[in-house]
Amino acid sequence: MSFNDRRDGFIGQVDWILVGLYLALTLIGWMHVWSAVPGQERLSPFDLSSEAGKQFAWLIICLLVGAAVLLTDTKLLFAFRWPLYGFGLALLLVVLVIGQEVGGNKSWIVLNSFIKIQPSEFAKYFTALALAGYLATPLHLAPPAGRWPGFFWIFMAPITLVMVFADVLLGQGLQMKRVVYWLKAFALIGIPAVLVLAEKDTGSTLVYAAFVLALFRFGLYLIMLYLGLGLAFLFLTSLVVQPWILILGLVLVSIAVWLFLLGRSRKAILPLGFFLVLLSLFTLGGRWVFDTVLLPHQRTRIMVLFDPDLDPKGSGWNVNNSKMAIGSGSWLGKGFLNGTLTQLKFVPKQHTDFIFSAIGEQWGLAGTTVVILLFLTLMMRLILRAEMQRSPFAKAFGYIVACVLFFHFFMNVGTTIGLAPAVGVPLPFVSYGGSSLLGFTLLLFTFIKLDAHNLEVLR
Amino acid sequence: MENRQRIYLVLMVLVGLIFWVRLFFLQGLDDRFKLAADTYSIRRLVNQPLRGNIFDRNGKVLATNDFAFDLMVIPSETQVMDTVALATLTEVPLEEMRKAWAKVIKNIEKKRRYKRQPQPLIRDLSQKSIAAFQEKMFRFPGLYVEKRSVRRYPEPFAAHALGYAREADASVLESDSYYQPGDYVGVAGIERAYESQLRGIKGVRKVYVDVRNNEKGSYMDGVYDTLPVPGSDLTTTLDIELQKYGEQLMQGKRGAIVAIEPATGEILVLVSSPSYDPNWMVGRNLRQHYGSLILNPGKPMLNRAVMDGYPPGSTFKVMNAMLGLQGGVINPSTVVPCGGGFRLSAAHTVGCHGHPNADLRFSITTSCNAYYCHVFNELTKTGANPRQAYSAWYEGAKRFGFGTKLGTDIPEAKTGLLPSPEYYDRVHGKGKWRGLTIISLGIGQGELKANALQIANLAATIANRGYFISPHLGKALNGKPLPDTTFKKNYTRIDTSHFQIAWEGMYGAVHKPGGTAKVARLDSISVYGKTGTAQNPHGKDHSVFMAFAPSNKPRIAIGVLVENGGFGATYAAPIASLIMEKYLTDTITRPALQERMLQTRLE
Repeated sequence: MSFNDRRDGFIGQVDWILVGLYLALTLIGWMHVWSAVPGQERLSPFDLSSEAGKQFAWLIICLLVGAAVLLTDTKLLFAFRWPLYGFGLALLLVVLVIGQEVGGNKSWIVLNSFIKIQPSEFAKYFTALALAGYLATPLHLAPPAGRWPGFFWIFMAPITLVMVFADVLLGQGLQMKRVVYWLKAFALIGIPAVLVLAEKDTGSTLVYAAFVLALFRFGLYLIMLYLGLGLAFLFLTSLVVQPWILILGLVLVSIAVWLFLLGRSRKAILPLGFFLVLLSLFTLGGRWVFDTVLLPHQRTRIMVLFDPDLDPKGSGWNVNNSKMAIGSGSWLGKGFLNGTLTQLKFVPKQHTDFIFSAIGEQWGLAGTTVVILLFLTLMMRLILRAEMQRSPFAKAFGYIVACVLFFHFFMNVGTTIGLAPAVGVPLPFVSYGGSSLLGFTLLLFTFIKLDAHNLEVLR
Repeated sequence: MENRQRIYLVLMVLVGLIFWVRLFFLQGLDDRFKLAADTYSIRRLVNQPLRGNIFDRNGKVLATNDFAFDLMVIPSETQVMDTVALATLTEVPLEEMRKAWAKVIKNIEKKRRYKRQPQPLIRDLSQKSIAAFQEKMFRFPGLYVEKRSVRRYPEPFAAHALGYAREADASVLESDSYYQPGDYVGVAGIERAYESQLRGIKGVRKVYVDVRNNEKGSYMDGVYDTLPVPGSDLTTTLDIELQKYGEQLMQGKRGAIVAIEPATGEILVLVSSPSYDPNWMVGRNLRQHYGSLILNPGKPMLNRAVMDGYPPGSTFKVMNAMLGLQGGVINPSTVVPCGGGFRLSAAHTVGCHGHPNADLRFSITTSCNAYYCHVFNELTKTGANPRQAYSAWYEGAKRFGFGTKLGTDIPEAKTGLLPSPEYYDRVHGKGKWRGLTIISLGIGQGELKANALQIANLAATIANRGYFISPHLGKALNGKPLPDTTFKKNYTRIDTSHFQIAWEGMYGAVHKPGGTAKVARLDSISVYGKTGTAQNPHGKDHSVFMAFAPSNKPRIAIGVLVENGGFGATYAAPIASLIMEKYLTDTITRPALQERMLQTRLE
């Protein structure tokens, strides 16, 4: 590779495909925020007293911020990642104290009637910086485990147990250094997640799972991914299938795994048994958690997935009407500004969490296909570019951005078409909302900036 | 480690694919949503047409439209409310207000209505309480007033003829898709008979509504919208002044009066007593009066003029005379010795009052029982057997309208009872009955049942010398007379000439010595009448009278039935005579008689 300190100007080699995708999605978003208003009430899309106008203003601000990011020396961001992470946590603490409730979440700092910000959207960015910085030092270069206070272990006990047993199961032998390395990563993600949960913002909390998703690329036990997906599957099926049938199935699967995948290894019996017991307990506990821990409205949001007619005027209302709006769009849609259900406010939160249904109603399958393709292209481009990064920091950051976008895309679009529980996360770049748009802009443009200087990085 | 990149790419493509397949089914293949979305956001709003007015034959308004005000509520928009203040303001009893709220809440709990859907809280508030409410409306969010048209009857008479309209109930909604909940439908009298003409045509407006049911402009710029077409105005045959006089005369008595214009079959008067103010059947009045209407032993809701009725008594004899003449068993000069009655057997006699032996004319005048037992008995001997002979009589009597609804347009009309041959087969056994078994039919008693309409119609038939036009209440729609074919001309198939003797007999009954109805006599006008007494096994006999006048082109035929009035001459005949005098001369020459009739209370 090049040993020259190559410089492609001050800005570097910008990946204009990513910028183009960004512009396409934000313009689609702005257009449909404007469309989700009854005809008579629709002002000019530039009128600052309307939501579309505000979104336009935010878009201008975001473009300026994006340009600013492209002009910043990314070394600064890397250098200041810890202070910025601390600032993010401080913001989350502040919102807990002086935050105001908007729509049930105490996650807003209201500056004036015009501007209110949602610090959790920025905390995502700072967490991403810190986590990427942490992952930039790979496991084999990380310092030895050292001593950690007892409460840390207790707090992390479940994850630790899983990792210890995974080590044993994979027959690699217990590596305390590795366990501690990942525990620190989890702690990094967990602290802001807990603070956001304290704001009663379920959706934003779940988004932190996206950070964990990124860890697998950097060597986190894959078994945790499968376990996670398995648990999610078990949790949902335990709501509709008798638990003992599920446990019977688990036992059979475990035996099959032991027989055919683990080569009847004696050493694997104990950890396998551990996972079997864990999953069985989870299956039994899943129902219990569902019935006792979850709040009634959260429960119905999940049950509505199985039975859309369960509560058509209550919890099912949003999703039902969203599905109806999307479904009524048919192949080519009713035409722009002709979305009757959209304009008549039949879908609540139409311009924020349910913006996808406005697109589906007005543009039909053609429109939704385009949006899905845009997102797939964006996310896959991010993964491809991230993989090419020479700097481990940039690579980790790229994966984190892709995972965060992927998780939002999955939860948001999944909700509008009734495939995911309605937890209330925005569709990146498209949904109305300045804070989230700014947060995602920072994430994306920071990666674009890092990527632009990829070739300058010495190998 | 490199291949872990693939996990991410596969995961993303997989999710994208699942979403796309889901959208393909949701948007492409599943039609349910397209329809549901339309019914969801497009409302078909109905503009109710005004119900047609109803006039009497002289153009006086009998029924028109007023406005009523309903207090509506949108439960989702209400807040904690001062029910007491609301009740005081609207002058609704607190108890009723509480019940109304409970009903609104129950409708939502039982999912009959959505919380966002407006529903009536209190119906038919007065204009005064509405004005009071509207001043303070801001204190009651979620409540508003809706204007609606209701029926008003300017003259508090002719309730049974006019009938009434009310909100369509479940059975109407089920049987006729035209009606929607809340629509009004005529369910009795003229309001029912001419419902399809009076109701008009609903206007329809299709509008977009938002989730709060607010209108958001018309659908397709209103190309599918239609304006309501008001109902046709109906002119009736009633003479409301005469009707009013009839109802006054029947004050305190149970019974019925029907007066018909013989040449046309138009019903001038249709009184059923006791009666009620037709306005009582509208809106809040109904709730107020319904109890008393139902509990009243006089059954004011029953239309006595067209009910199954009572034996027609001696009025029936005139018809038997005609059937006898036509059947050839008597001629005008046939004399039947009376001798105090008709001897059925050694032990049984149909009694008669003492009078000289009578020919046909005088038998009508004096109402001889023996004569008509003889006529009927002879008639039942004319065929191959008594059953066949009776069948011929039965058909003849039916042609006079007995046992039929006469083809009238009064929806409540009953047939009365004219026993069929099959009826007697059932009662006495086949072949086990003959004329003498059922001899009371000869004098209008026995199983027979007839109502005032049928009796008045008999008078009209005689006045017409052999036919009648189906008696009716409808005359013209929007000023255009109903087509001639609407009401049938019914022939009795009795030779016109035979009726001369009936005229003479009935003239005699009023004007000649030995006549039974001399009280009905008018000085200036020839009156043709026949009294009757309907035997009543439960109490005092019913007083029956039929008549027509004048001699040249009779203009009025009348049937009067006064329950428990005794002899026909006692009450029925004077009342009929007063009405005829009022109609024909527009004056009353016998104030004393009028006063006596007005004051009499038989209830």
